[in-house]
Amino acid sequence: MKHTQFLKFTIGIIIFIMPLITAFSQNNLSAKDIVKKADDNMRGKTSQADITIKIIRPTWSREMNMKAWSKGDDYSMILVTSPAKEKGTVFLKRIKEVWNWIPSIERTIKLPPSMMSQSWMGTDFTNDDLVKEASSVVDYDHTLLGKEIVLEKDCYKIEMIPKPSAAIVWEKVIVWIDTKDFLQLKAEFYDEDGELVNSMNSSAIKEMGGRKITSKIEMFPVDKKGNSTVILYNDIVFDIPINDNFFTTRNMKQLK
Amino acid sequence: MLLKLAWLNIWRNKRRTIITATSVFFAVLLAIIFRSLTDGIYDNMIHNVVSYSSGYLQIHQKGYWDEQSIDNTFEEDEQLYLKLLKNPNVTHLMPRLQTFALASYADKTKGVLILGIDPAKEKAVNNLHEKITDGKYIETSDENAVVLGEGLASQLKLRVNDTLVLLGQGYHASSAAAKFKVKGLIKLGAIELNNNVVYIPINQSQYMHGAKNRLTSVSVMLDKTTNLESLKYSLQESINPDKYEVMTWKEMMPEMDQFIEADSTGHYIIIGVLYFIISFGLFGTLLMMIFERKHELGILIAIGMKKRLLAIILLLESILISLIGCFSGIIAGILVVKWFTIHPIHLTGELKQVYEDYGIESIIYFSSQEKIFIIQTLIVLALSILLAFYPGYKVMKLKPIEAINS
Repeated sequence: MKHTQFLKFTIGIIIFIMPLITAFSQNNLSAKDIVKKADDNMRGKTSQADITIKIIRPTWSREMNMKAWSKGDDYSMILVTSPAKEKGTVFLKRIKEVWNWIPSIERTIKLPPSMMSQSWMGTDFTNDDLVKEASSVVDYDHTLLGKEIVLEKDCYKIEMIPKPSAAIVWEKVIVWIDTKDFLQLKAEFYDEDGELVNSMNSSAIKEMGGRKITSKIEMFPVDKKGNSTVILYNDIVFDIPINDNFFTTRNMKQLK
Repeated sequence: MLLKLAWLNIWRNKRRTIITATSVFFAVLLAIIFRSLTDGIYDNMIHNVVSYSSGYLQIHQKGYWDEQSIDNTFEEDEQLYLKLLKNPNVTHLMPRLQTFALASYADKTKGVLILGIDPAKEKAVNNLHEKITDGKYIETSDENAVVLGEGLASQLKLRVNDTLVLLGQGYHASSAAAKFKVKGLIKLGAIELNNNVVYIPINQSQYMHGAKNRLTSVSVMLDKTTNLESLKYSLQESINPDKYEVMTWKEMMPEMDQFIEADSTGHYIIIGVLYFIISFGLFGTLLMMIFERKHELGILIAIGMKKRLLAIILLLESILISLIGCFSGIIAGILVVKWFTIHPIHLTGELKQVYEDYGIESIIYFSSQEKIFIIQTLIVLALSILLAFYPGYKVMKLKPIEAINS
């Protein structure tokens, strides 16, 4: 009898303590780990996605479809599949280099770091946002600012300050990462004067390719009212093997 | 009575009258020719410059000038053309799609101005085809070929028949990328244009930018002498003012307007000096006349002629002489200007080269605006009348005894 009581007590304590320990251990996660986890979540070892991008302007809007491949931090490739006029345009990121293949002029253009902060294909995203030349894990210093609720979810609020060596135009970026699924739900980008320039919201959490991801990402430039860009993930597959040879300037030209 | 007296008086000494009248005559003639020449040169310069660049007036989508983006274009509209051409001062219309892009050949790349043009319409206004130095001019609006400024071509190290790659931003954030055969090189006077411009047939440009049937501007060419401001308002009235904006070249190229203004200040000084010299010439003859007629005037006063009346007669005499001079001056001025408007001066030699280097026709035109004749004549007339008060003043102060004895 005593034995069972003791067992119950122990189990009770364990049951009681377990969440505390996990909570505690999660609290102990460094800001960098949180960002890394969120980053890994959206990226996987490799990924292959089918994306729709909508550019929304006060007087007009435009839609583009594309396919995107990525492998780790080093490689990514984006192929535009529609509209017809831009079909076949490819962006390739290979380690620290970014290339753009334009079929209508049969030219491969290497994008210099100075162009990384410019608009990507007329969207509110920069070239850097899309090809992710800068790594949100390696190129920033992270500080945990606390917790806030975004979209009814508990989130870590983390301030990311670029390292001096990184080619990043922001003075700081603040991200909100969901404490449960480690999904980045919101990000704010500040310029060198400390002014808010862009804010990015992620929503529509869905199970895709065996993971929970945010399938809708919206970018709002703060000073341009009525402008925004929406990225919708139509489909995404994670961790299928992709050879490094896939991410070459030669392959860009024959990608379909 | 006084007028008749004055009239008879001036013909008493024909030589003196003719000398005075002649000095007025040359004053008027010189002033007219000088103004007509400088105005003619400015008009010609403006005409030349605007025919390559903005046109005298430009019609844009409202708001384009403040934000010159391809998204602020408007749909080509036949109705708009008809409305504009209805105005008798409008001579030509040039639809254009003007954008900026990167131009690349081999391993050279440069930012350029892309002018989508209607080759035939452009040719009619500024004789673009005559400026071709190598290759040929583009013929149709659909041709897949471009004409480059000579300076640009040498910077890109490219020749006729090479392929030029253009890369820019298209309509509604689409990307604009295309390659074209270089059909010709063009030498333009404005260095800015010569080093930056790519002329491309408008339909090709519209296709490349994904802006079918859209224009950034319609350039309006006018008769050289039209009053710009008033025409601007009448055109603005005739087209939808909520949709379009009308701008003059002065608003679009304030630097040229200011240059002309600064340059004409110099001319005003020269013409001021001219008036000054003319005045002294006139004054000299008047002084001589008074001196010659001192005896006569003294006697007239001595036998009871009122000084005041005598002064008025002298004033009338001067005015009559000035009028004779002015009228003959105007007639001669009209004839000279007329002659030179029909047979403008073609510059030769070095001067011709200088003009052509600046892209201005090496021809000196004379402006035949009535304004010049009227204003110049009035100024000379006013001057001579002002001077004519001097003999009157002299008479009032005349002491008859001294005068008779002199």
